[in-house]
Amino acid sequence: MSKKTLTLMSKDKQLFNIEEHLAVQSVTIRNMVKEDGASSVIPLPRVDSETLALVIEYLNRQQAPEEDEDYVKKFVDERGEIPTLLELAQAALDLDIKKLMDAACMKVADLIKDFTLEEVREALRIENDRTPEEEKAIRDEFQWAF
Amino acid sequence: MGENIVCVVIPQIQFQRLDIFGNCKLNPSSDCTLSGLVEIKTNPKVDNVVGALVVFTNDGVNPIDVTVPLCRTQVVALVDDDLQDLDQLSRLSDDILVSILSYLPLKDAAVTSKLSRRWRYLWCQMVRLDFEDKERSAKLRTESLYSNEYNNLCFAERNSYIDWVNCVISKYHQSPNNIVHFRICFNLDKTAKGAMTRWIKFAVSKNVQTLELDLSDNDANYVFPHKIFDRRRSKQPSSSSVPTSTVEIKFLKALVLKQVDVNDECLNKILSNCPVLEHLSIREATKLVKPKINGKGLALKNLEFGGSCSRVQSIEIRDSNIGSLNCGVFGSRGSPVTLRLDNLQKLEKICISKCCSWEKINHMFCGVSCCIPRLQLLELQLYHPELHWCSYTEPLDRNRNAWQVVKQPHQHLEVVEICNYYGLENDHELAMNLIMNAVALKKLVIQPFNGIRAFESDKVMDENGARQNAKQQLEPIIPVGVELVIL
Repeated sequence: MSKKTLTLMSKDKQLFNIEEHLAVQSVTIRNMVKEDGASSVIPLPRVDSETLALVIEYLNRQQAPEEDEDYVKKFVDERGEIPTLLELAQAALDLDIKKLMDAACMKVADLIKDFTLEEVREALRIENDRTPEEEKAIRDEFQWAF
Repeated sequence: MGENIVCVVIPQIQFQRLDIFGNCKLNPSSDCTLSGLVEIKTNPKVDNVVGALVVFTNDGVNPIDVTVPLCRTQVVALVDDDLQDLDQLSRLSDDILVSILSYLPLKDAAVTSKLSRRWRYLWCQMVRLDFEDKERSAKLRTESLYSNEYNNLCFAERNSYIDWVNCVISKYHQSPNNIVHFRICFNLDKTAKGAMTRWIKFAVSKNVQTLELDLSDNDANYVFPHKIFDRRRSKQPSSSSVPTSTVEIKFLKALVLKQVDVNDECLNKILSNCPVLEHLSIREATKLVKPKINGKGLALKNLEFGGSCSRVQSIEIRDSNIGSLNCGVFGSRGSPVTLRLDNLQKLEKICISKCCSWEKINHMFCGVSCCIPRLQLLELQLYHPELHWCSYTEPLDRNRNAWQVVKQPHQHLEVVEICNYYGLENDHELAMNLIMNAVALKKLVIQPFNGIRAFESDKVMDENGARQNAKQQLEPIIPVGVELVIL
């Protein structure tokens, strides 16, 4: 019996093939397969094709269980750009691949840990939308932290 | 009939609040893609068959103008072009941001409440609360112990630490989230007793899975509040001191206690009231004397007695499924620790350091092959009792043959590491014994003693001497197929 293949479709409508037994490392896909056999294409409308390619590369890894931790670490280390890591983390969350999500988040934390607030805003593209009153309220509330 | 399952697929936006009006109920376990959702409000009073869905976005205040009528079991897909312009971060779910935060020190994580409105309380969703404050702890270490300045500083810093923890916890009290990992790490003494008990109760109320209390550096031991396990009869104050039943800590999987005192009774209470506890580590518990663990019905897998549990006389473990055992216990002067192990079918790793007299270790080995059939890694870090406390109290019996009693082969023992090998008669005997009896032995690792110590008055041994001894003694007798590694 040949191994069953699934087709995943990214946000920008690109198709990716992956063997079913590897794809079901994603709990989301596993549940889909369980429910309806997922015979057709599985759309992943929130994941762009670059990120999906990374996820597929990760799912296709052939590591011995005891080397897996190191592999995941190295895998995210090699994609050291914050925007890429954030996309990867979000995709891993949507697909419910816990190890990958944890590793990506850990790497982002590692990258921003010495940043100033302004640098964090820039790296994560956050707009400071607070009024001066709110700023004061927060400072009073979390005095111990500042 | 009023429980329609609403399936919502919203591909492009994150939302914080979902208001559902009408006679429908959301079933989160169905196919819904609801990442980022913080709050679901239902309003069952509006008794319409057709309901409405209102999506609130990131600031949690202003609804995006999307109101979609819902019918029973209708699948609603919201794709609004206006919503797709939200920046990258808005698309990231809170789960991701919180997960990133949880890898930062707690103080740094809390600072992010300054970033923007969305971030203000985001850190309060972290499931890991690690109250370690390295700066504060380092400050205490710079003062010399027991000076007036030290005492004053301790007093002030302890109070401020307690305030910090209380403040964070108060933010968490309202939140529905559980806490997976809770860690207290500071030089606290008995004066923090009340606060500590409250913190532990708080963590337990949040279904904590890993609880770590590290009061290192403090000299006045704080005792684990085992009374938290007692459920008192509330209506009869006269008998309030008699616990009628016990309270279980249902979700606790790992408990690490450093410089938190436990006695034998308290240890038993912990074990019998934490049904899923797998990892237990007790370090520097001065009240522990004869811990006995009957493993029947326990989930315990890893057990550690570490640091200086100075009053321990014996450790007894039977009928347990533990997989690893770590004993680093100083017996009190002259009275070595006895280790009794019986029927440990799943025990694979034993690490014994800094404890036990030679005879007691020997005694333990007698039973190894019958009661610990799965043992694969045995790590011994033995202080030579002759060179430490025993020699002060009794003359050395040089004629004994410690290993003679061991006749049974160790069928499964594959790796042996002997630390601090001096090359004395004892070391040699131990190695020889293992070589003869461990029929499956693949690797013998010798870590030579790496200090310099004078003993037997005229002889001074250093690391090189120990290494040479090991080489001379063991190389000629090592069987073919066993790897000898002298570090």
